[in-house]
Parts: sequence; structure tokens; C-alpha cells
Amino acid sequence: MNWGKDRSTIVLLIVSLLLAVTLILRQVGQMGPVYDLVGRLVVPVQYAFTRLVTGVGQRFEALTHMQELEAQKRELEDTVSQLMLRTIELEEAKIELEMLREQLEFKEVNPEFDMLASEVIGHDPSNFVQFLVIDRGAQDGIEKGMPVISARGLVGRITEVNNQWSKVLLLVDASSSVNAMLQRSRATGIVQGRLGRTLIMQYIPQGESLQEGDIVMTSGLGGNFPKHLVIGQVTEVRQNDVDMFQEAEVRSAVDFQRLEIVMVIRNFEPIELDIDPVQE
Amino acid sequence: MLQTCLLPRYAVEGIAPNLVVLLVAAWAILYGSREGALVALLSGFLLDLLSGAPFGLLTLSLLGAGLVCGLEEIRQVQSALLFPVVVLGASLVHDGLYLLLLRLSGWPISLMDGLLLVLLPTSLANSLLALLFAPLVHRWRVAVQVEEATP
Repeated sequence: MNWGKDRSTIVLLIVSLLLAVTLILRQVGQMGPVYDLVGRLVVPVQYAFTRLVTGVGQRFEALTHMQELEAQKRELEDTVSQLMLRTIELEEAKIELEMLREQLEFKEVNPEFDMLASEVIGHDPSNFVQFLVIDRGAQDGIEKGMPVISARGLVGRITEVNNQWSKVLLLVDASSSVNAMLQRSRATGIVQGRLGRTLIMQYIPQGESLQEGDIVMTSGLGGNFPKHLVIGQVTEVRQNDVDMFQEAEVRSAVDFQRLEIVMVIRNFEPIELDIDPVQE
Repeated sequence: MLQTCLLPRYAVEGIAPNLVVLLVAAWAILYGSREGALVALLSGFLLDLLSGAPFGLLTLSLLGAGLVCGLEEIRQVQSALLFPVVVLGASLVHDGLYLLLLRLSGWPISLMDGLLLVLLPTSLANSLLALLFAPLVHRWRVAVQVEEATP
């Protein structure tokens, strides 16, 4: 007996029988249970197979698009970096805008001054002397002796002018002295810088009213500075009956260490032209 | 640039460390007085351009520091702590000379204030900063000495 041939015959017979039964059931409209049975057996397998195929397909697709993804990743990284830089720039612009707004408000309150905004580009390299370097020079109409201010008060004056940059002697330098007066009592004196960035008002006559919190401003005497520029506020009074004069410690509202933008008053001509700090 | 733009912004009580003194001191103990003086002249000249004080004072005071730091007796000392100690000395020499020169040029600065409020705090700040760079300078120094000893 040829078993292989018989097996084929048997299979053929079974399939034929199944087909015949199916056709009969279909004809009589009784295919529902068959479909149910088939569904129960096939659907889970089909589902699992579909997931498998989809997963493999996606992986294959991902592999084929790896280069593209890499490029996209780099592009996104670039975008993130650019956005971070932009954020920093915007933050910086916001701070700068705030400072400029402050200066503008000051300018509006003092329309009599022709003020030129300048950026601070350096400080003196030594801790003994206090100078600033600003980015405006002779080509911007800057001249020696011009007062330099910020929205918070007097900063100093120009002592050296180059074509594109100038040096500013700060109010707090030991060689700086400014004729000053107290806003409340109108008493006059001289504000001098001290090492350690402090200010002291000297030569205030005895008997003049002087108290903590008094506002100190330029008196205009001597012609080196315009009148009524704010210098600072009295923080301590030193009064001794045996001395001829009183003294006061003055605190400026200007943060000389962190100055970024200052204004040069261009329409003020100092009377004393020789303003070499050493010779004063 | 660091010395004039960045460090003054982070000064404590008006005291910022002087990186140029560190550079001059390091160069002098590595290569001797002559080389130290050369670096002092170049860097001092640049600093003088940016300073408002009379021209040349920073160059002269740095030159003094460079010459002192490069002395053979100092260079013979083999210690990783040599650099901060030398920087302390260099700062005292540099700031001391600068203060004297300022006074001589007529700058109205009190010697006592200068000493207490600037010279000593600056020297201390420089030495502390030098401590951070001490291992690097020491390694560099050993490499230079090996190179010099090689025939």
C-alpha cells in the first residue's frame, strides 16, 4: 500500500467534504457557528501576527530612516541651542531695556542736558584708583572735563579722551573732589572719594544743620559740575565742637562696580580746564 | 581683558584679585627673573594703557615683582606651595611699589589706608586664587626642570 498517495487522497476527501458541508451550510444560511468557531481560533493568532509584523515593519522602517532621524535629531538640537541663545539674548535685552528706560526717564526729567549714553567697556586694573573706560570718544563730541552721570546720580567726569573711547575718573577715587551742598539746609562742603569706594563730605561749617538722610548734591561752585546733580545721602555725621568743620559720610546710590551704561553731559563746559586729578 | 572687564564686576568690597600678578609670578618662577621681567613689561604696558593713573606706574611695579619672583634662591625651593607664597610676595612688592609711586606722583592717597584697605586684602586674594593654580604650576615647573636638566 502506498501510504503517501492514500494520505493525499484522504486529505483531499476531507477538504472536499468540508467544502461541501460549508457550501450546504452557506446555502441553508447556517454559517454563523462556523464563523464563530473560526473567529475564536484565528483572530488571536491573526492579532498576534499582525502586531508582530507591524512591529518588525516599524523597526525595519526605523532602521531604514535612521540617517533621516539622525539628521532630524541634529536639527532639533540646533533649534534647541538657538532657542536657548535667543532666550538669553532676550533676557539681556530686557535688562538693557530696563536700564535704558531708567536713563530715558532721567533724560526727560532733565531736558536741559544734552546727554549721550555710553557703554562701560572696562574698569581700572588696579584696586587703588577708580576709573572707567567708556565706548565714546572725541568722534562723539566727548571732551575732557565733561560730567558723567547715571540715572541714580553723579558718576564722575571725563579725564582722558581718545577717538573712540574715554576714561572717566569716578567720584569714589581718592583724587576726586566735588563741590557739594545739602539739599535741606543748603550748607556747602566738598565731597571727596576715599579708598574702599566711600565718600566723605568735608568742610561743612560748624553750626550748619546736618543730619543722617540728608541728600547731597552738586553745588555748582567752582564750575566743574552743573548744579543739583545728586551725589548721595548722608549716612553718618561727624561733629566735634573743637573742630572748625563738620564731616559726613555719604553713600552714593550708584553701584560703581556694576555700572553698564552711563550718560555724558555734552553741553556743560567746566570752567576749570585743568582737571588732571593729580594736580587738584 | 579679564582683569579690566570681568574681575572688577565681582570685586568684594572693591577688591578684585590681580591675575596679571599671578601670571608674572608664575612665569618668573618657571623661567627666571629675565623672563619674568619681560612678561611684566609687556603686561604692565597693556594695563597702563587702560589705567587712569599716571602712565608707567603699573609697568614699573610689575617689573619689580617679576624680578623678585624669578630670583634663583626662590626657584630652588621644591614645593607645590611655592606658587601661592611667591604670589603673596609678588603682590606685596607690586602693590607696595605701586602705592609708593602713586604717592610720589602726587596722587592724594593715604599710605595707611592703601596698606590696610587695598594692599593686604589684594595680596591675600591673589594668594588664595594662586592656591587653585598651584598644582598646575608645580607640574609645569617639574616639566620645565626636567627639560632644562636634559642635555
